[in-house]
Amino acid sequence: MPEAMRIRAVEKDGLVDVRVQIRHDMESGSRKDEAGEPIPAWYITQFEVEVAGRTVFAAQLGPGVSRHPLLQFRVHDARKGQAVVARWEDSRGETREDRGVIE
Amino acid sequence: MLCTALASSGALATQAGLMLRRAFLPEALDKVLADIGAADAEPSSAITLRLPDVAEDGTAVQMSLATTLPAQRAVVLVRKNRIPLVAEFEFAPGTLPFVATRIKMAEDSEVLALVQANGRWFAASRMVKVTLGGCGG
Repeated sequence: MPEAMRIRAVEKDGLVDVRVQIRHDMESGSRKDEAGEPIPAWYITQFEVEVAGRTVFAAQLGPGVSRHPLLQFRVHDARKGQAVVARWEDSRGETREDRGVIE
Repeated sequence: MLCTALASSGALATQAGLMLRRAFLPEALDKVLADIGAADAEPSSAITLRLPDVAEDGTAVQMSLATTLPAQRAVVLVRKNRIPLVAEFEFAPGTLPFVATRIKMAEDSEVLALVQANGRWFAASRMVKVTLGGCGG
């Protein structure tokens, strides 16, 4: 079971700053383990965030995004108390969905 | 295999029709630009690409991009990485064309930010020196 994302969405002066911290190794496929064997690629491919049921931000990620990706973006038509849902899917087809609230 | 995996992944279907769905492959950056139709992207001072001049740790280089153009989409590429395409971002109406994240850089390289606005591609780039390479994907 993948680890939960940390979602922080804070409204200030009508602008909502959203930060999502994902727990994922984002293996590039070009590293080797201690025995010299290649470590297979394994990374998040799709990421999206909904606010109040509407997709506001989406990304297609590759193995060039750092381990434990942190994504930040800003939404201006959202308000305090609205639900935030973040989802990802990785290159093995695993998925994770977490929820937050705009503060 | 990678292409197959990407093409068949449909769990996040809401944006599937909009994303470029470009596979992340080891290839030359110019080929990626040609494939996504951005070979003639126009350099634009309306794009702000923030990166350190020198990155001590190539496994996590902080970057942000923002633009005053009415952009729906942005793409980030690292020219010298084995897989130059790093990520593609989509901004819904009501979301500012801004994103910040951390990227891997294998060595000193140009980093490119492309944004698509009104169907046209615009570009900005910065050189980043990397002290300790990050196995750049």
